[in-house]
Amino acid sequence: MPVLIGTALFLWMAGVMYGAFVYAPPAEGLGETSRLIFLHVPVAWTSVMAFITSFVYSILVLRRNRHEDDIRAEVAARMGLWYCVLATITGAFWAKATWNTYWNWDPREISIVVLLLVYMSYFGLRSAVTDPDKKIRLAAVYAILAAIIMPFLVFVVPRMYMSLHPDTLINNSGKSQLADVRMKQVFFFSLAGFTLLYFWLFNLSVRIERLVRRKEGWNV
Amino acid sequence: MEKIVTEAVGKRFGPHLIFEEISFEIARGGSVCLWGPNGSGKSTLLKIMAGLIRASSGNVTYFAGGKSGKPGQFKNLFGMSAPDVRLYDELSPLENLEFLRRSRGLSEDTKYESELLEQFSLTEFAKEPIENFSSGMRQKFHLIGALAHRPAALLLDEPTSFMDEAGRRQTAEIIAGLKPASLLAVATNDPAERAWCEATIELRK
Amino acid sequence: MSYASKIYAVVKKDALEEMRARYAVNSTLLFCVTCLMVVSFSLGGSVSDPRLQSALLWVILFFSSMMGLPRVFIKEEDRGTMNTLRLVCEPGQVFIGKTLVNLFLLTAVMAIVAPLYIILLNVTLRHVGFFILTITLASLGLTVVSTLLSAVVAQARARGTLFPALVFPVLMPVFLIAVEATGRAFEAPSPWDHANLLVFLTCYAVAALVGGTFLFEYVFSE
Repeated sequence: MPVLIGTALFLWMAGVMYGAFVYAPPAEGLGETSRLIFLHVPVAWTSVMAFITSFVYSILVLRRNRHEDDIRAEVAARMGLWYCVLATITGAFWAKATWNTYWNWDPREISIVVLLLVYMSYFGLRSAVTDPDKKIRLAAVYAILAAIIMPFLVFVVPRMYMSLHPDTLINNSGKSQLADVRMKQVFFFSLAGFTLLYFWLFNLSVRIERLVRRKEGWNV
Repeated sequence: MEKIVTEAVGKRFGPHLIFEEISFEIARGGSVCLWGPNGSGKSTLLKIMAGLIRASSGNVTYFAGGKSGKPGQFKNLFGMSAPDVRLYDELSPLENLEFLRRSRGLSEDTKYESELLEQFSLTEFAKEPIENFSSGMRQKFHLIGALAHRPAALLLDEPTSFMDEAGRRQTAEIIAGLKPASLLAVATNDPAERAWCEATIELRK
Repeated sequence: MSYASKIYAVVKKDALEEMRARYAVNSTLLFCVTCLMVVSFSLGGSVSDPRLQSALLWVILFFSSMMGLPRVFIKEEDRGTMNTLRLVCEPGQVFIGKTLVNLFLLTAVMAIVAPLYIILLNVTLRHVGFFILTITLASLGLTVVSTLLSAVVAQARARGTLFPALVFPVLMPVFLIAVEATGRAFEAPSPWDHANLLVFLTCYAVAALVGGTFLFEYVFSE
């Protein structure tokens, strides 16, 4: 069964690649660089999903105080961190292609960098606490605090900032470029593929992490 | 307080197992000595019983006045004296006691506090910052801090190790006076302190 | 009333300690004056863009507060008195008490740094009311978050370096908006058109206070 799921996912992602590079036409005005949307948006979406997963399991850590929940919170955060790095890099390439600079501190770039910093601080904190029973609680508290603050950054700051700096206004997401129906198909096919891939990797990583902790002598 | 129940308590620090499956019960008038070599986890167990550290497994439950719950819900009903439960160096005994009293939300009655200071011959130092105290005086004062709110349960970690003969006698006397109506747990390596207790829990390394 | 007096006990205790040992006040004030001198020496009167002036002010204030604010709990943990607090106090009482202590400290920092900065860097401050409201509301959010994370960091190793790293991303929204609002207070014709910036700072402070009070219990209790 796991082999079957793995193979199906592999084929799906191969289909995404084919769709992104061959099937979908380039967007008008942007040319070939527009194909980045099929990679960048799903990756960013996945990093947000991982962040939410980590948040939910952090709440469970505080409520039930189980290491099993902490494994999931940590694994989700670790995956979120890598997806976040990927989203930042692909985003920078896209920025270069559309606005001709890799980086210009536009609100969306600010929020992704802060998300990156939150993840790194989360792991910094984890490695600085020795007592595991204390570690899982403090890490959970930090993850939850970051999640409480995130909406301010993601929803509120861009509005205020943009109204003040109309010059750095970005194109209103990828939607206008998804004019072609084939692009729409590939986009949602890719989004679904990345989402499934996330859950598959998450499940696998949780099992690995559990084994690692057992080997280190944790009681899980 | 009716009783303190320690149920299958275990503690690990990462890969290191300190102890596990420790179960016992202290009822009113009962007393337990936690006995064992250095590093066997006596102080850790006592701190878990006081709700200062979280156990890796198991529970500690307090029963008082028809209610039961975690130690943190019965803060004013027990007192603790331990080497790493310290009072404020810059503050005098009177200021420290005032802080404890107000933080606990208790009345401004200081009669018992002065009695305790008198019993441990600290009255003349009552207004000096405790950072100038010797380790024996400090230990006496920590004990006073644990006793000042007339707790129904006492958790003591080597309470007299630095005290002089008079201090030890005084402590033994006070404990003997309190014992019939209260609960006592003592973590110690000192046979004299062990002699206060009826039961002994032995921790191995 | 009794809860207020419990909070007062914590504040009074910290004030007495601070008066006798000067854990935070002296070193923090010294640090921010040094910071201020470095900035003003190296730039002189050459910074005239109000946005840049405001950004520099907030950089100084941020780092100054990173020096002083974490001490409220680090000091307790280092001297073994944290366990006394845990034995005796309720979480909310400690959180609010310590937040008030930090608020006093930060107000002292602001009261000294802000006027000095305005004089030394030759800043034109057009709208005093807007400016004071901005720094007050921003300090509120800053203090609440710093106090909570100070209690977290006190239980970890390498806290001196970890603290700013933990605080900064969480504080980023306040930082961005405070820089914006302060710039407007310096130079803009009518900053009150942008009162939504102040509303934002207020909302942040409230969210941090509610979330912080809830989360502190898990940091403080076993």
